[in-house]
Amino acid sequence: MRGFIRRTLRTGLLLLVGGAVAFFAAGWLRTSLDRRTHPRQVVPAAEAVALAAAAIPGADLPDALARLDREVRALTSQMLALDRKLLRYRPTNPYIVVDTVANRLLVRNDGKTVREAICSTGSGKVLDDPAGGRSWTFSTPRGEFHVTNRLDNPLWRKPDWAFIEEGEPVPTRHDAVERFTEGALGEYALAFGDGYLIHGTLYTRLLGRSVTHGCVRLGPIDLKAVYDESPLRTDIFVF
Amino acid sequence: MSSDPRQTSPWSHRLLGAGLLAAAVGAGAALPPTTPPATQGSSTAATQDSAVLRQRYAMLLQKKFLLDREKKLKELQLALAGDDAPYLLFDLADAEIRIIIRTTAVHTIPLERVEIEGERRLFSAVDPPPDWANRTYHLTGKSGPPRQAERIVPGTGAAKTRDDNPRAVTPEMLGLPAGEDLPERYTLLFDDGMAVTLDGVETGETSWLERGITKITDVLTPPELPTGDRANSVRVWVRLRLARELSRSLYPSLFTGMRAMFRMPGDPRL
Repeated sequence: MRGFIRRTLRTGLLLLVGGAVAFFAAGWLRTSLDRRTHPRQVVPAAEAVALAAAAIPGADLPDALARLDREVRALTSQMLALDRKLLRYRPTNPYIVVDTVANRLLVRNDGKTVREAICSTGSGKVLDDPAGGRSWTFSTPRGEFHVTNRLDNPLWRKPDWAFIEEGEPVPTRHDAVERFTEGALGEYALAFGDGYLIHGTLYTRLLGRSVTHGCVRLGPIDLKAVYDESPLRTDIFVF
Repeated sequence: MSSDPRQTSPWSHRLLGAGLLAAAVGAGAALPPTTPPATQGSSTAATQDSAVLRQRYAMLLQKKFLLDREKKLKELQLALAGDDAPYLLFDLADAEIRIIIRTTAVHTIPLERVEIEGERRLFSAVDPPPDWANRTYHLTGKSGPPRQAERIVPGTGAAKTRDDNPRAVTPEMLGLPAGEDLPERYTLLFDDGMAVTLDGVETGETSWLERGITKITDVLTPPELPTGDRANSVRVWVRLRLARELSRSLYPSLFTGMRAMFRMPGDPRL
């Protein structure tokens, strides 16, 4: 009998505790789900504004209105000044966008895409010079650039890393004959600073992948079209 | 009292006067009040003028709020445009993430759902502080698998990309997926306790049961923060749901130091 009472009390206590825990957990869950606020508007609703207007005493209304009108005019004038400053950053038309993740090059005019091309961009790999303390990271740099030079049948002047990568001795002279290679960059190239180019490639099978040493490679047809559409100082945005 | 029938008593005079007076007052009360026409018209006009003024005031007040907000957003954008590095605009009004360089949007990703919550407490969640969207943030870390740049062994690098090597076989030729395995659910931690979780999901119709389970899972399992950070250091938590592939494709574009700003619902367009 005593055992039965004890068991009953224990069961009752467990049920009570379990129920309390479930109750609080449900309350917390409900609160959390309720309070997960969907974004609220930062600008007050029309009703709130109407109430604010209604709260002003009638005698003060003309002055309050004149004051508010002056504030709105001042704000409008400040907005125009800001717009003028932002306008300085408006891009050229057309401009080029390079997506280094999807390996796509877009030519845009007035914000509309007029050409989309598959490209190859930097691999992000690192090469260390075993002899000296030099190191190169082969990424395509991000940011805003401009076409600084347009090249027809460009010649590739191999930098030191190209020799190191192939395990060949680095020529001591910068103008050594073995540094120059014809045809490696395709028929055209657009330079955009610091030695980076948009150029052609022999490795068309690898277009669409991040395999370059930082330059942007295009297939021959796209390269010709992009070259023709991009005069000097064309904006290039890389992300 | 006189017995002369031609004489009236003084009380009868008084009674007669009182009666005449009462009759005059009653007749006056029955007549409509005569107010001057000018006074009556001006009180109605004053009420109407006041209503018009209040309406104009309300309109201007609403305009002022919008202008204030637009000015704030443009000031933030101007500050970010001064640098040519890409930055993020979390457009919670249009449910989009944009990568912008200067003032040019170079990449836009649509979102499926947007949620914001403030600091997490044990049995409740508080609202975020009201001015959290009035500043820019910079990215201090992102969760996900750590990446180490691959190192090229000198003497082997160029061989892999030689197209004239007949024995060269690229993964592409074998149909293997290119690129690394990218996370679809990750959290970006910005300065000052701002966190943004991107949750990549399968798009399309989901049942109420799936939605309910997802919602409960969201609450019970806080998103993973970059290593070393604790959930209660987050003041504002923005949770974004988007297509799985888009979430994965965005991940490599996000770098430490990348700056961000937010556009809230109701905000004017930039």
